[in-house]
Amino acid sequence: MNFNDRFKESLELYLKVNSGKEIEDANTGDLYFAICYFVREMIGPHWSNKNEGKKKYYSLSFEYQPGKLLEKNLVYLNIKDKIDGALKNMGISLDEIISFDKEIGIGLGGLGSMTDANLDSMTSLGFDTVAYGIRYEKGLLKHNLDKGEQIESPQNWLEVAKAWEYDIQKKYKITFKDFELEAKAFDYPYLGHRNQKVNPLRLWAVDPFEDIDMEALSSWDLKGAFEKYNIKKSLSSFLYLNEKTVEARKFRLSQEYFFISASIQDIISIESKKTKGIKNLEKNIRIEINDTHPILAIPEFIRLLKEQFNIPYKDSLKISKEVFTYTTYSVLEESFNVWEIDLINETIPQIMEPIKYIDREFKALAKDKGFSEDILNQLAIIKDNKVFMSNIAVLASRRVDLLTNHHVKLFNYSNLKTYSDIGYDGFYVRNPGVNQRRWLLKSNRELCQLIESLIGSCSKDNPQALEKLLAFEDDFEVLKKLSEIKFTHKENLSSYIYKNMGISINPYSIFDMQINRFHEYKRQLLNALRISQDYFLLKENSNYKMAPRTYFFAGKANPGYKNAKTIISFIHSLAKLINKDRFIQEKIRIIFFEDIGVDSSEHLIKATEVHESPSLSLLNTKSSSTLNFSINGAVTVGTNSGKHSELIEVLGDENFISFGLSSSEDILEENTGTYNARAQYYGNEDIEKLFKNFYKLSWSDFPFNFRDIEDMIFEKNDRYRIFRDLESYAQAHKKVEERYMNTNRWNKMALNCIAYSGRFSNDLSIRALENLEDG
Amino acid sequence: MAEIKNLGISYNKEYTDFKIWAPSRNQVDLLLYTDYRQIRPTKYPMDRVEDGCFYTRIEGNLDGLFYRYLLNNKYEVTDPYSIGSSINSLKSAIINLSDTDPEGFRQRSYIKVPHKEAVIYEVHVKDFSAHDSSGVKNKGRFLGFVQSGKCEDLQTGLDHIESLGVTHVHLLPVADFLTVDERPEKFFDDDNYNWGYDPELFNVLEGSYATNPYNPKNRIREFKTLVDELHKRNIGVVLDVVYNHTYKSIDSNFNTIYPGYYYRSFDGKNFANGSGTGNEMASEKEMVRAFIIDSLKFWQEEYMIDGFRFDLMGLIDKETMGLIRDELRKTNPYSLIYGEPWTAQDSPLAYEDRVLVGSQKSQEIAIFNPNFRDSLKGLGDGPERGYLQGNLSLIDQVKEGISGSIGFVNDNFWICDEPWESINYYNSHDNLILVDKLKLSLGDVSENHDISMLATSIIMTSQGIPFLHAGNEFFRDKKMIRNSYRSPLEVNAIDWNYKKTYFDMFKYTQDIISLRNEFKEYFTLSSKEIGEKFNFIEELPEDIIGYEIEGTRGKLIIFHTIKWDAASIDLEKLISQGKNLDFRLIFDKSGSTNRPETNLNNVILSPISTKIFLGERKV
Repeated sequence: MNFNDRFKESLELYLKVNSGKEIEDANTGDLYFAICYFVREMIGPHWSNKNEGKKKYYSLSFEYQPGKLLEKNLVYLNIKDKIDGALKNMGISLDEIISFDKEIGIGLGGLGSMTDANLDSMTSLGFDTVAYGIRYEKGLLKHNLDKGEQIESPQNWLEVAKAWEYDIQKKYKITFKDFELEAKAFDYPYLGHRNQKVNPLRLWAVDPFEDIDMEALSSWDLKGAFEKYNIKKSLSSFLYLNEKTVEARKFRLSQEYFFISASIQDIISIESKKTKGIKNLEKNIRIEINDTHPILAIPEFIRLLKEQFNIPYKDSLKISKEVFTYTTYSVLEESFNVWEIDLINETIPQIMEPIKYIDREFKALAKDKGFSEDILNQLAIIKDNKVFMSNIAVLASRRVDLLTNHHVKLFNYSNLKTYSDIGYDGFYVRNPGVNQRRWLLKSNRELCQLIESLIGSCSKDNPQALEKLLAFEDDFEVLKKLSEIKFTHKENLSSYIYKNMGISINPYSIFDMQINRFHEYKRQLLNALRISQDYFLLKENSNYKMAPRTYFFAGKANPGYKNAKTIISFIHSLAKLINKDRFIQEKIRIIFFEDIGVDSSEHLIKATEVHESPSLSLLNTKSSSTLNFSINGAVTVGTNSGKHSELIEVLGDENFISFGLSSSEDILEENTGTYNARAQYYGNEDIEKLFKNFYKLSWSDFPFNFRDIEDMIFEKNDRYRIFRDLESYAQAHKKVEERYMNTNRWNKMALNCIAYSGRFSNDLSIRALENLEDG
Repeated sequence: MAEIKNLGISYNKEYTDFKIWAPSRNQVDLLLYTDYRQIRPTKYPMDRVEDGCFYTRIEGNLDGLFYRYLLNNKYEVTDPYSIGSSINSLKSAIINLSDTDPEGFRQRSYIKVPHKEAVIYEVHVKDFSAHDSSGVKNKGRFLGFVQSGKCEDLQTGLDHIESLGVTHVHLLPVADFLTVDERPEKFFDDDNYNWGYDPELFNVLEGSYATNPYNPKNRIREFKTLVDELHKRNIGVVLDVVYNHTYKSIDSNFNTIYPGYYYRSFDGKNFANGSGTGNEMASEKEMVRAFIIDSLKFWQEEYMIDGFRFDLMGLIDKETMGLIRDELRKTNPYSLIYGEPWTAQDSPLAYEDRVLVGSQKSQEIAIFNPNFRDSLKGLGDGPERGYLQGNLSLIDQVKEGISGSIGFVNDNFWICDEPWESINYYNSHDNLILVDKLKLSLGDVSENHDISMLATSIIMTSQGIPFLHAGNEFFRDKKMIRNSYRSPLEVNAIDWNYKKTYFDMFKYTQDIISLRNEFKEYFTLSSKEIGEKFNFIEELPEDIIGYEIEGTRGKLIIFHTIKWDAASIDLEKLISQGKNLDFRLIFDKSGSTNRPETNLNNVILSPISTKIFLGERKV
């Protein structure tokens, strides 16, 4: 039977069984589920492809961003065109069905996209992994702007994405001080790229265990009847609620424990079945802790080995030091969990014993080595009635993975800097890279086709081969084709924006984007203030020669992060002011793209010409997001920071437009404490003028209290160096315009960015890790 | 300075010449675009030639391309001499005008109505047909303007104007202005309406009125269609032109090309603001004057425009107005020229150089007559009452207006040398429309309806040029908005259902215009003839005005009463030589009629009404 017939038959059967419909009566939803079912049939046999004898990697993360699975799976199975063709024969549009799909709503920003990239590389390179996460039923809160304020509402991704769910009939009991519940596993297939490999993305859902309180229900106390049920359920409902209150912190701690306890129980169960007892873990497995939230996994692991196999703490700590690795994604204060002992005792008292054990072990060691009181104090796991999680992660794991070199020097908030000072040698710089399969192969098909036609393949197996493109950097025809592809993406995005937001943008204008989580250090504010300077210049004379630009902002703020939300409101008001101003000759437009996800990021990124990465180098975290843009031919304007330094080294000043201080200068300034916001402000006429211009705006044109921005900057002595960097940022943008206006030069820059990004594929980072482990 | 010719583009199929006057600039480049949205144009350096001009010739047929000028590599401007534009005035367009004429357009030429015989109907293009009730296609646009529409069984659109009997349609600004987003999908948005007194490109049509503003020729063709359709019905087209200011000041294209030259200033630094909108054009300067005259001639010759109404004519110096008159009449002796004889605020232009009330005397141009207007309906937008609302102290001013404002009643009121220098009106687009003014000054009383009709018949039976604002003929109101320049269509659009509701008023207006046209020799008297043939009837109470006019068909006797009760008059006694005349009643409150009046001793004037008799010599 040929593919089309087989496909059709599968659809017919599924529809009959599940909706009682014929194909012609089926609606988009019916068809979506039927097609997913067919794809699952195809994936089925791949589950048993195991990599016997190789290490198994378990990964724990609070976030993943796999995006929409249908389209990705079709591309990865290499059946998208076939299915598209078969559906066309039936008069059905695959695009429509793909747009019905919803993103797996379990990731918010950088962390999710990096864990996703790792999973993608590992699976595509043939590793066996299990990635654990939480099945947030209401997702990650949909973020929308209401009159400029970010409003969060539940995101019901599960009703659609459940098409991919495998109920594997696994449950684990989780014990809290006041109650118990069960964690139930749901697997999502995570496919490798055309390699017949599939790994599970295993998400935990709360099974409330004891159900509704029937006694309360029989006396019609509805609220009471559901109270416990709801509290338990909520642990796998939302990610990142506001954490300002004690209650909220208790919730978060419970959520973390729910997650890691289920995962560790599962790992032990799998491994003990395999080895009949629990043996050779050091050799057989690795457990990756991604970011701070799953660190509790270490004491839980130690606790469970004792409980289930009666392995003494001493031995299990040794095992733990071999199997766990800890990756820290950020050096911000908020990125390191610190829990009050009281809170732990009220919530999960059983975890204190192993924690105390690790603490004691460390103190004994410290004494042995003769560490000073001072250092001891800094590195203690327990101090001031609090538990410092990152210290557990360092002391009880085999390795601490950092994203960039300079992070070691910057761990002022944690104690990692001290570790470095005392000669700790477990740091490893991971250099995460771009997931070229998602950001190029899957999302930018047109560009891929061009690349294939030039160099034979499009970076699937050997991403570094992209550098062969450099042979064409002076080929006018190639450069022209490159810019035509970019223009097509810009036009598509323009019509999408017009259709969905009612804002018309000029597809010829420069598309300039900043896609980041909203955070002060990401400096969306710097970007917005620089745009405002251009705007006020145009208000002086709209005829100033200035290449029209469309600025995109996309990103979310954590619900409890007030300043980030204020910046969102500011940008929203600025967008309103500028977009309705009919007297600046359409030279500036600002699009605030709401509720950004993986799918929309793909569309935004491939249409980007200028990528903004102005985050403060001092606090910079990762480089992979910049690479997502580079591999799509966008030129980055960014800080000259650790994050970018390797990229700058390769691309050079011509192809990477940098500004601001270098990381080391930044660190020096930070450490000497000489920065003075007031002096910066009064020493700079442009900034004073800019602020005055804001205060001159009428409330009806600009319904935002600019004082909030001023206060935000001054309150922390311009912690994020807005004043200091505004001018050099503006200079960088003059360069952008100058180079952009030279069509050939710009296209050549774009080609360089694409060619060199292969060098920074995440595959290479994963390969390096493998060598390290096996090496 | 020698006369500078051919500024802007000179197009032909083989090449296009570009010329710009920019005496203070060192470097000017031409930027050419194939799509107006492009941001990377092709740049051509221009040569500095004589008299501060820059020039270049580009070979090839450039029809359909767009251009701008780059000044000193710092500013990009559109060409003030543009004849076409992209949407929203962003880029100047290169256009082959020769393929934009409708069939027979140029042959039909101007209408030949002597200006003293003009009856003017002022209307805003969008107001006229935007309302659903207009029943036309392309509502609110140039093409919609000249459709034959129906509201229920009544005519709208062009048929309506034609049936009204006016000689000229006077359009509020149709030249490009900046305050409306021209994208078709925005056309009916509440915040996207404007009268259009915000000029940007003076020689380009406003794009929002076109069905496809993206195509620079589309608006040209469609506006020419509008002119042509009116010409086919022998109706002239008057354009409201706004040469006194530009919407933008510091960054207008004029001021960017040659800063400081085009605008007046008291102190040499800041913009003077005689227009009240931020700046005023220095019409007395050679190149400004030349621009205005060139621009007017372009409209007259390219679009076959029959006349011009000058916004804030007080800001255009007398000498320029004289040159304008000479130039326009050279091509079309019938050209109507009139304007507002005032400024909005003080101006550096010397008082004696301004065209103010009276300075038009014997200049063959006309002015809006504020004295007649205010004495009829009361000053301003407040509760002040005029003669129509019973303010009897204004009777002499009203009589002066009726008799041509030549000082016939009182030397102090002498503002015109000839009656046709006066545009007689009780309202225009500005200020409260009559219905709203009456409501404000008298309350919402049923008499307002009669007063409106009376006001129209007074205007139509006065010496001078009568002028109505569209909708006056059927009790149009504007929801008490005093200045609806950017109010939504809910306020501004003409609701054609009113025509049905107030059909009596429409018919009345139609009849009085028809009577004026039939007896035009009686209403187009020269100043000298007024002395000989025009006579106010004495011995009437102050709330009745009566007058008689001699003519070839006998004596026309006209009464206007503002009494809220009926009045009785003795015609025989009041009319000199009345005994020798046969009186026929030809017009009363119900419109035209024709019957002998026999009961001459007790002629009843209905409350608030006009009555007109023709007294023919007994045979």
